Amino acid sequence: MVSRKDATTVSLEEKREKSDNLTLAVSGITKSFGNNKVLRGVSFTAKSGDIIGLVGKSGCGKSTLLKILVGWHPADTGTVLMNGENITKDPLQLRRVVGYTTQDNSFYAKQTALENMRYYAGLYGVKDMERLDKLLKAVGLWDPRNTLSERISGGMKRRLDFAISLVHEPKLLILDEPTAGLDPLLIEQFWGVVKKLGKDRIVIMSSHIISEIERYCGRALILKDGAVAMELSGKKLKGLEKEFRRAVA
Amino acid sequence: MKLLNEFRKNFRVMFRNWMTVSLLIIAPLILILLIGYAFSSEDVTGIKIGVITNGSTDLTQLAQNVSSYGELVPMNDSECLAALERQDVHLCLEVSNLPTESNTTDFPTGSITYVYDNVRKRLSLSLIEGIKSFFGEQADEVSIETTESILNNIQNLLGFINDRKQDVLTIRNETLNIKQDLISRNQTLTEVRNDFLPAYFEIKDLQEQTHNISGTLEEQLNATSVVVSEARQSIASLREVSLNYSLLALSNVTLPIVNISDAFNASNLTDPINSSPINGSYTMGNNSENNPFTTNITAPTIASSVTEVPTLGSLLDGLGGHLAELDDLLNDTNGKVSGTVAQMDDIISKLDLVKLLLDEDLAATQEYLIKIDESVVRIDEVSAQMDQQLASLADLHPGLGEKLIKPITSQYLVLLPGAKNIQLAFPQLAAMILMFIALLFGNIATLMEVHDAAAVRNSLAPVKQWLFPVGLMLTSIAIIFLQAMVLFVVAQTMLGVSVFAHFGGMALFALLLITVFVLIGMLLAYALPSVQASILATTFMALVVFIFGNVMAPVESMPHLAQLATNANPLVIGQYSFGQVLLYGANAIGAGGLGAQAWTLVGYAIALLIAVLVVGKRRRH
Repeated sequence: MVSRKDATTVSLEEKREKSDNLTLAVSGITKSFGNNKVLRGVSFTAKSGDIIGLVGKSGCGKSTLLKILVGWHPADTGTVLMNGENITKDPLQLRRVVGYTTQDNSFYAKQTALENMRYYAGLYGVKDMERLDKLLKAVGLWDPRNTLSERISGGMKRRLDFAISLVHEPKLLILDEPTAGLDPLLIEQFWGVVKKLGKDRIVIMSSHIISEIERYCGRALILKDGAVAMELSGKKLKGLEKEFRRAVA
Repeated sequence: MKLLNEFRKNFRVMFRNWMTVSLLIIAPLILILLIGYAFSSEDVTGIKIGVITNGSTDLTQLAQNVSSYGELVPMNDSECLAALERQDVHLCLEVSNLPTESNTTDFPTGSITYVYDNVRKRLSLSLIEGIKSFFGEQADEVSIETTESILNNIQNLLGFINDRKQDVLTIRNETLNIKQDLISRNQTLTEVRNDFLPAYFEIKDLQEQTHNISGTLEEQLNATSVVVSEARQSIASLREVSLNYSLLALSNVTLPIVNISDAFNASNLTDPINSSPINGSYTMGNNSENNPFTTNITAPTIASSVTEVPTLGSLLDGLGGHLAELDDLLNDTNGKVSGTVAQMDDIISKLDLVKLLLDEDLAATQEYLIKIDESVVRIDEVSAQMDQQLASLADLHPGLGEKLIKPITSQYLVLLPGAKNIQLAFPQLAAMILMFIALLFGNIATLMEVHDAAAVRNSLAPVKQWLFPVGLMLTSIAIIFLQAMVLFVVAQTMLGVSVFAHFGGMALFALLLITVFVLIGMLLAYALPSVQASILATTFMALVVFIFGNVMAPVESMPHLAQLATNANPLVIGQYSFGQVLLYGANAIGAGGLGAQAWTLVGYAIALLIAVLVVGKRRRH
């Protein structure tokens, strides 16, 4: 007998194989903290290969939306459907398909890159150590793999953080200001890795750097007052800053 | 597997953090080793005792006694008190007139005043105990000697009293002999009196008779004198008549014939002695030949003729002469009777005196007998009392001196003879060390985990979130348990505490104690958002646990609620359990074991774990 968990896993595994058909539909997400309504019905869709940038003024709900998408907070209302399946019903299952890259280098500084990778692989139940090695190589951290994470450079730390978020092969990658504090070169390096490894995934990132979104994202969502005020893609993305200023004015 | 993963990660993170390693792992180990070093010896050294004397006390022996751990420092009282306040000396000792060989008197006395700093009460009292013990032994010796001397004197006194008691008994016996003599004398006197009295009374009767006769005789003599006087008058008359008759004769006158006997008969005179009427034949007194008073008076018949006048006159002259003789004789008789009566009276008065003396003597003898009886009774009573007192004091021999000084001998039997102080203190010490380490380690390790950047990612991992606190708990317990093992090894090797002989129980309670306090530390880390607040709270918690840990003061001295809190304190339970296992070989579990204590700690651990999970979850959200 196949357990519900196994069934979900199987279906998602199947969906992982059909990466081209990966879809995400965020619909009517609302969230309040006490009397403060942070999200007032956020809706958007995405498919595999999309790199979506979220922009907005501080307090517009970007972080909250991301936390809902990673499973930190449950949404008050709304759904997040991945390939038609509501992934927010089971937080543990949600976390298996979502990867999260933080802005704070969320790994153990006193572990080496390899140890961090293997630790989180253990948490996610990943047993394929070779893949981890490949991942480290892919992010350019193979050489310093046995160096304590606290001793690697800022850029390496960002890449390590990103690599860790890919340990369990998530289909949805949430990048929360992943390049904060990095210089342009490192930013470029980072995005090079993201594009290489995120191409079969849906990547949603938040950033205060408009130019970064314009340059590296395929779509941009401007959030205002807890809702998507504007969605830009393609060439319109070039006017993101202008639109952003207009939207938040 | 995931727990093992967590375990390995925690070990790496902790042991690669020099701060953690230094403060949470190495420092406690150093502390344990230092404790082993510090408490490995029980010898006290470097003690200074300020001594205030008046110069008359020799403290050589005391100085020798304390030389193994300290020295005596001569001072005056103000210097010593100042030094005590500065903690330059540990004790001030004011001694005076302690008995020594040079100043031993019959009743040697002295005084010792101990002035100690009650801030350092334990050490001070320990020193005092040692010195008191020294002086106590001396004092006991002196007291015993003095008491023996006193008892010896008492024994001598008892001997003397015993001898005097024999004298008293001798006197008693002599008194009884005197009494017997008095009784005999009394009997003799009584017999004499009994013999005397009849004769006395007879003589008294005779005296009375004599007095009567004398009275009668005197009356009779008086009467006779009157008669004689009348007779003389009659004679004188008759002489006158005779003369007249002579004249008559001359003149031839005839006179009647008068019978004198008839005249006497008619006179009604009586014999003064026998009261018989004087008649013609009169005898005074009895008619014996010896009776000087016998006389015969025969009254002649007077011739009635005048011619007989010249014979009458001569008869009258003869009669007058006889009357005069009779008068003289009567007077003489009267005189002799009076004299005899007087002699008799005198003799009888002397006899009266004898009787009086006899009576008085008898009465006095009776009185003396009574007094002797009373005295003997009194002597017997006194003797009996003396016997009683002597009997009660008879047991007071010099050999009792020691018993009198120490009438109630006290024996102090310890439950654990031969146990060193550190062995006795180790259960408490071990519990406290593990409590402090576990509390701080649990708190700091959790703070490190909670505030680590990786915590964000951990919270997004598809695992039950209890994995992290449980993993942390297990890691902390494991590390601290290793430290506990080091502590046990130090105790076994350096402190002489046989921990490994009771390893099972010690390990179990160490584990439980560590678990409880690690969880308390973790709870405080999860509950308080900031590192500073959390560490402060943990330190405060450690202090509270320590204060209510039956360490500062015995739990029995606390108010009721405080006692309840203290008895529920896991530190106290841990101390108790360690003590029971280590010192008395109690079983950790099983019948008569420490099951209640173990399960209490387990209960605490479970409750705390639940609290940690709940609070931790809230914190993540």
